[in-house]
Amino acid sequence: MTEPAKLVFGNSSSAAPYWSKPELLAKLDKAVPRPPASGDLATDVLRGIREEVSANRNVKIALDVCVHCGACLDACPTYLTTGDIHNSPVGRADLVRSALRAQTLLGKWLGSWVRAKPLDEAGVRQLATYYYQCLECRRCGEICPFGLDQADVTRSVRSVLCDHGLISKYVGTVIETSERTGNNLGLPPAALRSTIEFCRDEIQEEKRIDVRFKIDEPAHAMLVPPSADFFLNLETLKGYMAFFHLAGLDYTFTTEHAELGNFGLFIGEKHMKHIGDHLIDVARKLDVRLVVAGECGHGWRALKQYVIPRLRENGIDSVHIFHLVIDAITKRSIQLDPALNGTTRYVYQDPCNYARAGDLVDEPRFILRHVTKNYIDSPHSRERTWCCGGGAGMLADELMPLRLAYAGLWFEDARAVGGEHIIRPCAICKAQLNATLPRFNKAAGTQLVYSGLMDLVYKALVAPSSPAPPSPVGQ
Amino acid sequence: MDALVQVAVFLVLPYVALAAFVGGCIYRLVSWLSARRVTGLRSVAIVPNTFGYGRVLWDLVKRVFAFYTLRNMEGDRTLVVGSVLFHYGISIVLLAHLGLVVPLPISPGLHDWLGLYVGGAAGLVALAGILILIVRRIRLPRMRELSTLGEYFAPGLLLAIITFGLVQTLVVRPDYMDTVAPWLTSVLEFSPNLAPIAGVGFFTIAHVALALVFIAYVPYGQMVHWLGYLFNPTLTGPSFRVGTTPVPAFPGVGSHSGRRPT
Repeated sequence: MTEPAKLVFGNSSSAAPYWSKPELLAKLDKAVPRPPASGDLATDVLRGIREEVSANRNVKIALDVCVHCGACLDACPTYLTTGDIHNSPVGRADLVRSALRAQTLLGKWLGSWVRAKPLDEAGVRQLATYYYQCLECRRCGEICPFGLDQADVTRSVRSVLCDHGLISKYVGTVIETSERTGNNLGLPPAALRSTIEFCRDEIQEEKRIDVRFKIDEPAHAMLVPPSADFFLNLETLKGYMAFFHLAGLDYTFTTEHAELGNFGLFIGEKHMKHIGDHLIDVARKLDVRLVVAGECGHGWRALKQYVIPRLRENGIDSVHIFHLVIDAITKRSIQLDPALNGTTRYVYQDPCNYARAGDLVDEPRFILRHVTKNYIDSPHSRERTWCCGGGAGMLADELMPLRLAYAGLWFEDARAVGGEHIIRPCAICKAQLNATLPRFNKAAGTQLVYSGLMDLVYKALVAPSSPAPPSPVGQ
Repeated sequence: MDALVQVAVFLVLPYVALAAFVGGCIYRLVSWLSARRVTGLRSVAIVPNTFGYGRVLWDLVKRVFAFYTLRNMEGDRTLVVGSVLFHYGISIVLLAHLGLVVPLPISPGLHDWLGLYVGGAAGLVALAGILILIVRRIRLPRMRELSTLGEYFAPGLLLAIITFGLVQTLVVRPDYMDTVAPWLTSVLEFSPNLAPIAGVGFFTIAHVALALVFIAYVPYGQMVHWLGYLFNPTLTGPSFRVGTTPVPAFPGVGSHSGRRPT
């Protein structure tokens, strides 16, 4: 692998992902066929963008209404850390606007005076580079006086680029694996089963609880964690399992769709729908009444904003596991001892897709209050939270210089409040912190650690001395 | 005044501007409303927990009257200061212009006093605001980098309109109730009468002409923002509740907020 290019402040044009090769594109075509190409990339992309813009009101208005006030420059983690105007919400959108304007009479007449530049193949490459530097964190939309969300413009532009063969190798690989195997990591059913059983044994050893669970069997609820929880975040997985058991909820894992994450969201809607529809099919097949989401920010957005409305049409409801934990806390059907999480200074950093796209802001805080004695909010919290720097497909190794630049923001936040343990209940956040936090710790001489929230729930859970009767939590 | 100028500015331009404004707004509305999807998602609400139209409305009110999202700008206060001054100032000025065509139950003396002091003060506030915004755009390197002619045209035009308006109101002080007011009323009643404005001076002509050009331009550039955000699904499409138990109120949840990194 070649060494990623070093970033120069003011110019991040060198930070492009590796692109999917034709073999991978052909595999992706099996799930979602791409439209035919005319042979001229720029013409095809421009046509695709025009169609996306005229079909999607949020995209159309985001491009039409911007007054170039620059508020988003002050908010965007990608611009603040790279200083490249094209790597900013307004700058990225201007790449699209200039291509569209070049087709108008005024654009042809005034040219660069009104930022009109015909799109050519180099322009398409520039679009692809900068639109794959966006984290889709929606911080621009939060600060914009008109709520113009450039993250969804990114999704639209990437959708068109994907239609014409430009999709990052990392995002393409994850989507293809997910569509082929039912999870992003390609974990086979036997591996999933083995991990779940390993966690069962750990829980028995650590908590003296013999947890009940089902795998691929009909149940009241189906738990859908991100696949990283079967691989990297086993403490989170143990948290789900111990909680479900003590709350007395009948639930099953599924090996057919062992993935809350939905990378299709990052590149528009086609693959997102394909992956989401598979989840709905599995829920129907297992005849569950409730789908429970694990800890994954973008997966929660795709679930809430695409899958849940369709599950409800099929008589199936869906919640985040935090909703169930709150339910159990308020009904006192579980016992929690915050002292079990010690006196560590926990700092909560909202995953962007919870705070700015999924309405999960007060929920995690309520749980934190019950499972820790010493938790504080990050200086930039709630809808002002910083993205971890790994969102929207940025976890690719070749983008590490960008990821590190973006990550400096939350690291400084955590240090500013003297945090010792960062809580980020999102699989992408955890993967990004797993890769970047050790580097920051080494450079700054700190010893910060990170985890999800269900990890802390797991530690705080107290097994009742006598077996608790099944409670109606979530039913 | 040259008869040609008189006809162009006070007869042709008003109806061209009106047609361009109405036609442009209709074009925008049709193009926005015919874009029916929101990138495959049920809700793209940007503000958390906007459950229902009450919350949507409250958020819009806060945006219009308080520019509340700009509070989060950490390094640069000039945008929020300039925006608030300009928009409050220009809004009062626009309302005051209604006095030209809507009969008010007040004495001519009071009308004149209000126009001079309230209108003049609001105009000065708007002038300060637009100057702050223009200077900010020119002086900040990142703002220069993202600005082209399109970003300078409207603020420049507004600066000229406000300046000419203020010169009239505060310095020249023409008898606008017997000149511009009857002319404007006749134009809006679609029976234009140019007789009252026969003797108006340069500043009135310039103010009216530039204002009409601005009105014609509004729907076609960034100045359409006053209309656009009202149709933006991130603000007007509420989210929906998931989960049966609302989060109980818990005093003290989040013991730290709002502190910025050192």
